[in-house]
Amino acid sequence: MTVGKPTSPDEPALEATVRRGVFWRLLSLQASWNDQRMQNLGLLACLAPWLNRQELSSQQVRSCCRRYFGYFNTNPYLAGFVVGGLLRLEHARAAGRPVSERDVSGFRDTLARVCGALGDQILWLGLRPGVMLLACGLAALGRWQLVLALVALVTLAQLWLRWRSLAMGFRLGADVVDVLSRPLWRQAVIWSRRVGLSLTGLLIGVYFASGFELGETVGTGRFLGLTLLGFALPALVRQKTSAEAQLLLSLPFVWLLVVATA
Amino acid sequence: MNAPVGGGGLESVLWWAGLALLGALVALDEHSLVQSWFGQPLPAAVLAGALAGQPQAGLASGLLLQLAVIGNLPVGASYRLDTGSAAVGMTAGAVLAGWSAPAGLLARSTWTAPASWQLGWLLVCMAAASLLGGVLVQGEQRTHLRWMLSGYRSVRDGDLRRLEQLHGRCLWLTGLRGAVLTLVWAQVSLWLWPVAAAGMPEPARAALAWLPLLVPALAAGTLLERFGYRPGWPLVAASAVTGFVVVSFLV
Repeated sequence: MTVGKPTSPDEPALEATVRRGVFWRLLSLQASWNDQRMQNLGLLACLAPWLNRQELSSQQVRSCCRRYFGYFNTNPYLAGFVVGGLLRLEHARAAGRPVSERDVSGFRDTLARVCGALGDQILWLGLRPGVMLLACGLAALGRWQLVLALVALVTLAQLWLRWRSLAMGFRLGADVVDVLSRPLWRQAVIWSRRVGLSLTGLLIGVYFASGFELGETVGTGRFLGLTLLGFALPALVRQKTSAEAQLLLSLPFVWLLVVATA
Repeated sequence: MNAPVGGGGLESVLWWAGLALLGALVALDEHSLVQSWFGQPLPAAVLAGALAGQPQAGLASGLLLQLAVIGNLPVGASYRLDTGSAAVGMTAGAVLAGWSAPAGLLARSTWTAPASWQLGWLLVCMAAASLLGGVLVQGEQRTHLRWMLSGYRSVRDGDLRRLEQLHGRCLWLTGLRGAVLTLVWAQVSLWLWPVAAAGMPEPARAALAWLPLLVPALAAGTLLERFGYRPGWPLVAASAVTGFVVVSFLV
């Protein structure tokens, strides 16, 4: 495997200690998230192991801090591509190659947006609800060990992705954009969405089957009322109210329903 | 590990320290560190239940809260709640107060037993705790902003160490918030449980008893709202029929 290692004598290698240092910090990229510049402090913390390793003048470090102190926001799971690519560009700059500050900022902003959009679509809106619905299915069967095993498996997969993306970003530098423009990513967005939709459908089917199963215990009118309320509430509030608030908001309606169908 | 049964002693102190540590790790995992999804309500509640000696209790409370908040995104500006600490603290507190998980969510006894309102009550407590904890999360983010701006000095003097320390401080703050809130919610749950059991009015019990049945519909409604109703309806319909058939005729 050549990822992270130079494929030719001219290519620089990311030292193992630096790679490990950057990787660990990459896991806490969002720790200092703030409304104004989002993950800027996290990004600087990620770059610190590499910057500390270089023999940079005080002026170069200041310039680097200034460059990365601005707005930065991306998806934490795909941030390795951005950070790896930035390290490669900084490496080239330090070696005296013609890479301007504007090139670096342009690369950072563009790639951060791409990774942010891809990561949000694939991971937050597709995979996370899908995996958690699957975990809920296992929980409904009473298998708590399997719930934890599933989450552990997903954790290992995302750690592998982060480790590998960091190395790939460094190896490819600005060319990492080509990797992210492959149709595979578009397919991943489509498939993660399909998985999410299928599991949502399964949830609906299981819910109705359980409602029928509980039959007289619940009462048809009460069950249909609860179903209607559950489906209507998110559509009415349209993501303007948190799920917790929706739940509390629904309590008086449930009470009214119980009274009406008693 | 079993929950401490009254009194003080080293075992009790260690148990509470373990709960605080779990709360800290869950809060960190939710948004700041690794984001492995162990900080999601279901696995977090299972871990809390296991710590209290009843993983099945965590399974019941975590499953419902997970479904309720399935549409929440732990992404930057959307992150304004604290479900992890709420799930861990409230579940552990409820188990300590003597709550036993129902045999199964699909069992008739879950809905007809005199104590059927307790699961709904726990769900309401967790939702309220998450909303209240969210106020602290917002305060924490404002503190991050202040610290980040104080790091501007490094742009002038090139002191990278200061920036790293500020970032590390943010991590500690999140861990501290998680630990403290978890302990607070566990104590609140411990205190509220007998009060609710003794004084909960009958109409409220009736509403709470049926609240958990609303949650799957709420989750499905939220997900359809997120994915969009029109584009995937054939897939949703086919999966719904499959789920219905499998549960009705095969399970």
